[in-house]
Amino acid sequence: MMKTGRRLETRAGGRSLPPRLHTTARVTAAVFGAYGFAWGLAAFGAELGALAGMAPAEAVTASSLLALVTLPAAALWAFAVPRVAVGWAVLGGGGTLLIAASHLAGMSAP
Amino acid sequence: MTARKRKLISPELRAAMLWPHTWAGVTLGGLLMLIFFMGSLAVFASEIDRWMMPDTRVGAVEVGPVSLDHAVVPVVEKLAAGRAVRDWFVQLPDERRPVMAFRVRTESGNAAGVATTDGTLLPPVGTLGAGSFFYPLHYSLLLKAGFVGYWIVCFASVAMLAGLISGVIIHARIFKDFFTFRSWGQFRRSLLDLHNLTGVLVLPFHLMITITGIVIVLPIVLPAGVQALYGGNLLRFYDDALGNYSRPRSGIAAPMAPLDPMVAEAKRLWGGGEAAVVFVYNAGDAASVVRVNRDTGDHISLDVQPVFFDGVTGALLKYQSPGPVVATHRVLSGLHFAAFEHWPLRWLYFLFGLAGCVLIGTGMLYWMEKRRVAHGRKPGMGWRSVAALACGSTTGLLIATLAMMAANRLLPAGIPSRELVEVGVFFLSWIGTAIHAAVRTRTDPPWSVQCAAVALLAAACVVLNWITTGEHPVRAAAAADWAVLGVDLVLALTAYVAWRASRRLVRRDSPDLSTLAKVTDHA
Amino acid sequence: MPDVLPLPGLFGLCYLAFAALALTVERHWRDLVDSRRGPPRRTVFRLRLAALLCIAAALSVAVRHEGAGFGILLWALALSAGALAVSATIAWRTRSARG
Repeated sequence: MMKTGRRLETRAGGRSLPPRLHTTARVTAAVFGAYGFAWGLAAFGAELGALAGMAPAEAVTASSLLALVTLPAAALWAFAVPRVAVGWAVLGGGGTLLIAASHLAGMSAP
Repeated sequence: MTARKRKLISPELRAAMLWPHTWAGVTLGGLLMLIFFMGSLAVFASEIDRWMMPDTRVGAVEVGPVSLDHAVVPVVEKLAAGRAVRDWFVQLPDERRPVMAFRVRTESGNAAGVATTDGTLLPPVGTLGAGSFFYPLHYSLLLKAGFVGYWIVCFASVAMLAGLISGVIIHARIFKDFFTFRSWGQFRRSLLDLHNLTGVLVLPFHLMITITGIVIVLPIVLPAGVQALYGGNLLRFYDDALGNYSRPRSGIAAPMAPLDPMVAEAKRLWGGGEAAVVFVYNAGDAASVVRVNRDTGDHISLDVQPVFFDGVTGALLKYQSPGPVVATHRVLSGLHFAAFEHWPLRWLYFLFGLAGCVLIGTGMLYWMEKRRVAHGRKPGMGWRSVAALACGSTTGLLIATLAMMAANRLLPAGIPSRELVEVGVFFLSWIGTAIHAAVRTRTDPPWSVQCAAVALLAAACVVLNWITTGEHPVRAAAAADWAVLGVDLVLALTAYVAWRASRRLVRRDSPDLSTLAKVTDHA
Repeated sequence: MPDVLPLPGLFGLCYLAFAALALTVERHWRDLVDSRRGPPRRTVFRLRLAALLCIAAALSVAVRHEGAGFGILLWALALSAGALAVSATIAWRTRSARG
């Protein structure tokens, strides 16, 4: 089980990173990257819902539920994506973008 | 079906999922075991509470309408013992709890008590029981400060979700092995069969219970939306979403209006149903508020439909139905809480929760058996740590729980902080089993000894209940005391199964490495 | 229908459905029915149809007796229980057949 895992890592993206650092990058992407992405999704969704005229409590609940469903999928994807840098870019970068977008939406709201 | 699946899931994806599946299980398995086991017990919290609080076994009383003004308010005054009451609430009796439970906050300290429906205060229960110990352990690990416990439990739950999903992806022959459990032959293959079987067949329940568990505290652990639209003010969000109402004390004393008409008005607004909990905030103050919650026993949703009254005038202050999304959230929460009166569902929740324990436990055991091949007869530190962890979180957890229940029957009623002594027994025996497991693990953790301890403790619990309360299973059956009978029978069954397991484990030969080296699993 | 019957009926239907499905799996058919060859295609089709009908009937019993909310929940969980019971039966039968 472990052997397969190690072999996979060295094959998949270990050219530049030593295995331990590579594993750390994967795990942190799955934990913090995925959570950041879910956070961005929930915040942006809430703002979007409020802009669309939903009651604030409804918008918050709906976007949080959606974000919760994506959370485990995003975490697993961080392990499935061949290059860990891509995983970090999409999850971390996407999360940051979504949070920024939610701030913008918040400012544009009355 | 399988052909399509093969195309859908590439071997690369399957291999990539193995690592997080394995390591999430190995690192968080013990914690998840605790969460699933205590959650399963929490399903029968009321019944275990009757067992642990013999004074509250007042028999099946006719759950008629309790008069708040005549039976409840005098008890509150008795509990306050002359101090000025700030807030209080009462849980009204229901089918499973024939007594009323009180919490009173006074100007100097809190008080709690249990009373019968006619308003007779019972002696202190002297235990936290399942409702205030096993259950909070399930959702917060008793770490209340800063919601730390919620965060840890939810983190483990997301890992559980990821584990379930990755498990389905890894499982190569999901349909061919759908029903397969080869209990004979290689131990390791049996373990994997059982792991796959509980994982696949109970998957709908496990997915549902894990997701809805997070959903309940979602605004706390993912407060992004609350941050965006409510400036991070969680209380304001909950007031808005759930139709709650609060206002500060005015400082002007004022007499309370009678409570019974308020409950009657609440029932009229609900169009049926019973009141479950009545809260009085700012008691005796001009700004006092009375909140009446509806009993959710007759539907899945956890929407308690709170009705708020002015405590002085008795006028309606707020009654607001949640919007459709919040209502969905309440249904999802209700699916997890299982606060409904439905015995078949209650048993299924209990059994499938335990199936979750089997899923997690077999996963950890499988890892241990598999790693044995790499280590040979002298396992390393890492393997021994996981082995001790697995032992402490399975048999050790059972021993701790049963030790607490035995202590509940053994400790004399009058001793100071009796409930804390019980909690101490729980944690000390748990730590004890973990140390025992860590010290005695050589080629295997001390399974057989700990199983024997489980059997003895479970049997002792039944006997102690008989000796200290005089209520043995036959009498409980005759008196139709199903709660006590059920707990006793499950304890007796636990004792029997654990004893059989212990005997079998003694007879099991030490693992033979020549058969261990044969690998016949995944794919 | 008497008041006690729906529940055993529901679990029975779920059990039957998964028992039929289990027989469409070649390994279990060989272990339990005919060790020389797997299930014929027509039999597989009929068993699957029977399983589908049992599952649908179980849902209808559950919803009629318990209402939509509780009915669907109970049905979904009863399916898991039925499947577990079937696999336990197969393990027991196969084990005793192997001595």
